[in-house]
Amino acid sequence: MTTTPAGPMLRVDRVSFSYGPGRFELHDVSLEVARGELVGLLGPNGSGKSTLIKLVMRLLEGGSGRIVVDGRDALRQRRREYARQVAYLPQESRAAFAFTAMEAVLMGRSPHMGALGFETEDDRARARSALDCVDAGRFADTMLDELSGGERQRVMLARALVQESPLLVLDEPASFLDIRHQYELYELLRRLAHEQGKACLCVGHDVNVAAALCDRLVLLKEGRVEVAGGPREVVTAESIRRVYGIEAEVWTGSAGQPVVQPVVRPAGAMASPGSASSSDGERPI
Amino acid sequence: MSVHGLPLCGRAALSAAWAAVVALAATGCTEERALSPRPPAERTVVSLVPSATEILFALGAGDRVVGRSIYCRYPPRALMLPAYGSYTDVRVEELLAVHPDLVIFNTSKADSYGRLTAAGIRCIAPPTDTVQQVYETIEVLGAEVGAADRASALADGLRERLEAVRRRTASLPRVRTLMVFPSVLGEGNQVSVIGRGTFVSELLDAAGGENVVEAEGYPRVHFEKVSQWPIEAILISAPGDIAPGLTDEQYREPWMRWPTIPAVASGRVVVLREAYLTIPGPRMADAAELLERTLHGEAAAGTSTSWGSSGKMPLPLMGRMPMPRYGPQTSVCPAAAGDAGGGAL
Amino acid sequence: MTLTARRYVVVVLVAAAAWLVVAAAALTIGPVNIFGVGGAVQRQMLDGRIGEVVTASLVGAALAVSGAAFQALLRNPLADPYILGVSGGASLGVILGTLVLPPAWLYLRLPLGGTVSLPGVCGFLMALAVIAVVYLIAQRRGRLDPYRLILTGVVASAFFSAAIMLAVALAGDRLRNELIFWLMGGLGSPRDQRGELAVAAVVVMAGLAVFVWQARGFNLLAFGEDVAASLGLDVQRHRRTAFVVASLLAGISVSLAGPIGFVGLIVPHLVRMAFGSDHRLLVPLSVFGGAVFLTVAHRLVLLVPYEVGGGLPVGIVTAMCGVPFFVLLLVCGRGIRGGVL
Repeated sequence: MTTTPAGPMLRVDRVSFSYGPGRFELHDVSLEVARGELVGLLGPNGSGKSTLIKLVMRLLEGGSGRIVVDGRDALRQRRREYARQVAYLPQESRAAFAFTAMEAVLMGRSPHMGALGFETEDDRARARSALDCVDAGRFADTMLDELSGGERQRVMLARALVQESPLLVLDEPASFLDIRHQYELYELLRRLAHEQGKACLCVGHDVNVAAALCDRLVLLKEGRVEVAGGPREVVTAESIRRVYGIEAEVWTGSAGQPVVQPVVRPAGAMASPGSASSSDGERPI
Repeated sequence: MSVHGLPLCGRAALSAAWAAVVALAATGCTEERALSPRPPAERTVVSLVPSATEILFALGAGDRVVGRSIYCRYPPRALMLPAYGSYTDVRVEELLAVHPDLVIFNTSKADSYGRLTAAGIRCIAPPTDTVQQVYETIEVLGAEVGAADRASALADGLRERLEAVRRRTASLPRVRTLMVFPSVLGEGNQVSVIGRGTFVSELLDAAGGENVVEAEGYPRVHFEKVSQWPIEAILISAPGDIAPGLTDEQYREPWMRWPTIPAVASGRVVVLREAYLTIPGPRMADAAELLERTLHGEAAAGTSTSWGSSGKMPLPLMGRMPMPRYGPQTSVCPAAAGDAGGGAL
Repeated sequence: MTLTARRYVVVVLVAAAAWLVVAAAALTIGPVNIFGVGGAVQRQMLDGRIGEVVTASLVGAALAVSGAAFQALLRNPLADPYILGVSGGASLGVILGTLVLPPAWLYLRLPLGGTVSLPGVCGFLMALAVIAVVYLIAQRRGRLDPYRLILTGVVASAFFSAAIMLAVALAGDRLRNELIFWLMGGLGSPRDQRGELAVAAVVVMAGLAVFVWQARGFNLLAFGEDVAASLGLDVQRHRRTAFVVASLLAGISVSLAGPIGFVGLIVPHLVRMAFGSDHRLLVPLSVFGGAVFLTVAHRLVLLVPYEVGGGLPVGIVTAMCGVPFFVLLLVCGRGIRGGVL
């Protein structure tokens, strides 16, 4: 599906953005996402993750710097054209009216259709396979609001998949899901990246999930990239303290992934970020 | 609908509260007032009904009428009196301050009627739905203001004139007539008609017409239905004082779409601008004569026209107040489509 | 069930045919048995009835599709064509036109036949002005936000309600009755409205065409503006167009027939309950559904004999029939939310 394998799929080049004078939301942020790569974007609340995603999706206007998708400037493309390049999955999708899962998924085909066109049998087949891909094939004729949060989010992912864009951008897609569905969603993204060669940029809020399944992580703090790289380079006790301002222990999990465990202090004893290096060796259970 | 809901509720609540206050305040002074009633010939009156206002002036008690309703525009002297509201919306507080000896209402069900009565002001609401009731009301008002003799004379004079009209038209063929209130904005594809059991319908009967409407009151009827009636004349009662009045031609226009109605085919669609046509007062004989002339022509009417009890042509007194025109201005379509006398306002 | 081109064509054609049948049947129903009268009378009646049916269909279609568009635009199932104050403005325009214009100007003869009612024109112009004002207040740097739009509209509606009350209070006695009748949603006119209807028909058709074009955008907008934009929709342009066109349709129907309630709220919901939420189907079906609904309601009103209190404004009937029907569907309709047909 990628005709020009050279160069990253998404390149964010020194992007700054501010909502008002003196209120910098993003400061000189640069990052890249290659084909076949799942990149996790992490950071505390207010670090600018969502702003960056909105800029990539062209949902916000203004700011400086360049966003390049597949070698072409994002802002130079028409919306429909851009929608064939980049698909988007927000935190939660609630429809104002009752649609079936199939209808919702088919909407993902709209960048490929004319204003008055109808979905063809081919579109329907693609939608069905996308639903199967996210293990939601049996929901095709179910109303969206009868699905659970996890099921609905999978259907929405199918809608993003059926857009058949080489780049997938997800904004905390798993934040309303239970732990099993969180892992399943990330595993699915990982498979999509590795097997289908999609480039995925995923904002996460759970460091452990992201560290376990992403190829690379980018850690944002106050609108700047604090660290970027493989999970083991990025997720350290040091970087967690710097970015999140908490003391944490970082273990190595059974698959070699880093596992973050915030230090639990006895009630009453408040930890101050500077004074707490109390690795007393006891593994908290 | 939402337009009217809230303020009405608010008003009802307010007026209920006010009624209670007034009732409390009134208990103190009722007896005192009741002890020294003025003789009828000195009583002051506020008339909230156009016909009663006209009757009072015709009885020579005009100088004791100290207030009117916004609808009372005749005789012209009445226009100089302060207006204390419409039929339903009466300024009770101001009336209490003026404290007339008598207030004449359109209906005793008005909530201000009860409040004024509670405050010791004599209120009456004499009915005027039929010609007979108009005679009775004249007598009643005569007794109230100490002009019983003049009242009898006025009622007798009206009776005589109406009888004369009846006699003249008795031998003439009845003209099947539809009387309508005109619509400006349109009430759907419908028209408000004057039904039986009304004062005007009685006058029409006296004037040698026959009301084609079989229902009572003032129903709203679809044009299709109306087109089925054997109407020989259509009278559109469009007094100049309803704002805004259309031109005669505009009032007639909807009827021109129904050329199979005999009245339309023969051009007997008449716009009557005279306000007194629908006022059950001393000018009802004028109204009957006007109907007689309109239906049977000038020749049929034996007497020369008389212009009501004042005997004078009224002059417009207030620039803003559209005045009804008086005089022979019935124009018949299409012969007099130029509207010599019936122009707007 | 998802929409295919074939299903679309079939359903829309059936709906159009249903409307034609209802319209034709409506011509035979009225206060008078049209088959029992002579030729010339029959022609007059037919003339009048065609005018009534065309007005009811145009107004019903415009209101229903405008309601559907506002519900989609504002992502609010309770939205109706009157939510943004445009109808209030149009009503005020009609009333002020009636009160203020020189009487001789109220109805103008058209050279090609028919008359044009200048109060109606005033209503439409006022609707245009309100559209502009509401837009200017609600927009921020050219962006329309549904919440600001609703807030602005509610304020505008409240203002116009007050202004209408004032105007009605100041109107003369007899005219006031007429105004109140009109405000409850009168329909039909004793005058020859061919000219006005032709103009209205052109505007309404153009508006409907725009919505047929925008229907898929409405589907996308149901998932929020971010998702819609990510699927290639120019959200701001879509909203602006939908706002202006839906308001125009509301304005023209109020100018033509007074503020008739509930059609714009109920018809889109009924269509959704039966056929699902896909706006590509919802738009054309609201058009025909609104036309059928208002035509039938109007004919029902006309069937009430005048002796027993006939001559009601059709707006009362649309509310009194529409609301219980709607409640019934809500209560019994859980299983058919996705559309049974």
